[in-house]
Amino acid sequence: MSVASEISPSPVQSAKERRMTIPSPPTLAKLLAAALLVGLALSTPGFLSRPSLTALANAMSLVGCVALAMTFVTLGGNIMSFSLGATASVTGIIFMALLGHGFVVAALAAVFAGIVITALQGAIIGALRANPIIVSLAAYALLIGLTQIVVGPKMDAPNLDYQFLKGRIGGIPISFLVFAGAAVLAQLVVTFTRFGHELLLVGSNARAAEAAGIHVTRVTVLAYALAGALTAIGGILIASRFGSADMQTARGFEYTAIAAVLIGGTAIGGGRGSMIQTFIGMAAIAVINALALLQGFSMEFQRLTIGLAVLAVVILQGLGRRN
Amino acid sequence: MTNQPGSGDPARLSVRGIAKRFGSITAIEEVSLDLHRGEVRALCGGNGAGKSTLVKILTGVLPPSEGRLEIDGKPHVFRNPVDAQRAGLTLVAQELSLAPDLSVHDNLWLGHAEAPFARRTARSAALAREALDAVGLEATGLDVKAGGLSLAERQLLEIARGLVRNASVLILDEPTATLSEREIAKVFDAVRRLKAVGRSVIYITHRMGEVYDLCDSVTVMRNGRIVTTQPAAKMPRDRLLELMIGRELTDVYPPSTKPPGTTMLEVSGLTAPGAVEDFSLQLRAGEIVGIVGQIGSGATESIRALAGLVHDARGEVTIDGERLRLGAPSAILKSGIRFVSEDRATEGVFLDMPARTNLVATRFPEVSSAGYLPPARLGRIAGFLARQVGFDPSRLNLAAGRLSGGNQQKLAIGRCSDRSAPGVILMNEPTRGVDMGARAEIYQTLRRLCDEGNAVLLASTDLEEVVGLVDRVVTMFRGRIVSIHERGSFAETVILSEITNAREAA
Repeated sequence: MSVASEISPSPVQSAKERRMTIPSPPTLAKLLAAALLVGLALSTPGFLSRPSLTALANAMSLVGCVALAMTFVTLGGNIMSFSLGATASVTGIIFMALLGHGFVVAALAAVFAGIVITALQGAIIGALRANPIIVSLAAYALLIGLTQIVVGPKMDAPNLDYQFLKGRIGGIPISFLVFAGAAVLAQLVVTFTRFGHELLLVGSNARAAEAAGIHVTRVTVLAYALAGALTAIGGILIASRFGSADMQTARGFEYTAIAAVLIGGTAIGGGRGSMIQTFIGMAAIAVINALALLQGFSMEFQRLTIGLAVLAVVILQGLGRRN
Repeated sequence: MTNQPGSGDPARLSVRGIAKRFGSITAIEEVSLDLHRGEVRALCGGNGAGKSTLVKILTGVLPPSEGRLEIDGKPHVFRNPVDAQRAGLTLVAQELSLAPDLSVHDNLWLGHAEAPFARRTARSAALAREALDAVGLEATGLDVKAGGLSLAERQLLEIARGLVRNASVLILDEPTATLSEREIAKVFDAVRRLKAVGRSVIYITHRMGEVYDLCDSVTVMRNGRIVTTQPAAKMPRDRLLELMIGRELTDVYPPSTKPPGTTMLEVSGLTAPGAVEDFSLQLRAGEIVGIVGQIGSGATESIRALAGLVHDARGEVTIDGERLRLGAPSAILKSGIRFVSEDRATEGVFLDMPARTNLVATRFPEVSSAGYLPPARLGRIAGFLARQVGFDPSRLNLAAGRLSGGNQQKLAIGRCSDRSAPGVILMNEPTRGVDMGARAEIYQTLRRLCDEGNAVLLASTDLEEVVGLVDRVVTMFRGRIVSIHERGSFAETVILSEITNAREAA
């Protein structure tokens, strides 16, 4: 008889929750925040103009792909990866360097490289139960160092202007269509595939998943591989947009990506969340940034608001757990 | 000396009409007892009797739903474990909670409400020394690391920890479960010394012998209530056993209806370093085999090794003639073995996932076609499995963490049931933390699974459950099988002596 775990405290919890009829504080806070954002957006002159919305769509799609990649990492219980920004840069450089051989070759090579970079990390994390954050920090340093050696201190690729991905279809930027398409595809993978279900179970409780016969290492590698592919798509979009690729452009993307995942409401511990939520979180961040710009605040202010938003989400999640 | 209502001075600890309810489930009810100065009280009862709930209330971990506590005649309300500690009630846990890399001194003061700010003061050292001497650890220095002590010494250190907290009532939760005969004597000595200086002890035990050798009085709990409290000397042994088990429990266990079939699982020379040695067994279709042994006997570890969860396990294990690769859980589970963990929260169920997902977690390979997994099909299968194990289908969308232990266990077992081909179901502590009603349903389900051609191999520390449920009993001691008993020749006393006695292993 173990005193520590004989009776689960859960029935008390459920009894408590049944008594509550008003929405929980976290839900309330989310609704308020969303209403505030919409209200501000509608009342800010120039926000609903075409150039403003186009800029918004463009801005969110670049980081958005990295945020989708981050969601795969987070859902699988591996919290976050600090190497995704560097991975986007490296794949962008590869794409640019190979663009002379045609778009398809360059894009495939970039995606392949992205998959290799992250899948290797996934293998280490899955097989050795290594700490995912430390592994990603090591990968970050390795990527920066290797690129410096191979490409040189300036770390950029030949400047080749590539127009196709900067274009629009029906007035909508292609990069946004790519991002939205990737989000829908990723969500379909999570909802309708065996891998998607296993990913959520591994994220929810890796030990229970192993005991239930789920191949935890394989699922983790696959999750990281998909994250790598999505990050590479982000890298290609960035390279096409700026017409060049270096290690600077995508710096800090992982922070915004983490913010999007958290603001979207995906559980930081894994197991619960979705790509659509990340999409919404990304949109919220883009709207905050656009509003700040239109209202005349500086770039530093954007950082501040995102920091505050993430902090609020973490506090609300903590409160939600305690209730 | 024992319960004598009306005797002059107030009881050291007086429990009056305590009840604890979790939602609609009553864990304990109408629990009242008086513990006097220098009294050693045995607290007996099977799993789910309510002992741990009572202990949690006494140590401030859970607030009671009803009733009150008095210490030396004064009412107390514990809001948290620190309140209980201040009032003089201390638990000496069964699963040792020492920090192996800290010194004996630091372990004694760890978590103490009045731990010195400076790591060690002359006073803290003196009190620590005094407590160590009081439990018979005179030879142990204050600077020795706790990790270097033997199991018995660590148990004694735990008791000394209670003394440093100046506990007037110590609650010992099966302190001898993992100890050898000689080490047990040391713990007994420590308890007798405590008694001599007027401390009171609540001694939780499954062992009949300890009740008579050590305790003044005995309280028996069953189904959340106190059945009786009597001086140990006035309680005949067979009466105590009867009270603990309870007569009506006999029909909880469904009888086996079919003779066992062909051999499904053949284990020979299974070894898990440090836990199991040379474990060999044959399991036939349609039978339930139970491994009994105390903590550390290797019973649960053998099951875990067979489930592939012990990475350095060796030995020859074949299922239907096919050899298993030990240490690779997903490969093993693919070959027709299912595992139900004893530790539901960390390994058994996905607490924040809905019941539906929990039921189908092992079945993705069968349900999906080329990786595609239609949610509707999952829902149908979950509903079917829920009916199979007696789980209320209307609760399939609830997160597993909000269900009772019994319902969680049904989910874990549901995962194993109704496979297209019969297989082997491995279980550890099949009904730990499960109430009586759900237990009966789980036993029925297990028996039905066997009648359908599956085989069940389970490990349990609940002797009553094993003797009632299984077709063969395997006893283990210190990592080795002592003997195997066929149904019809189960004698609880023999089994008990085999799993507690050092004779065979020494």
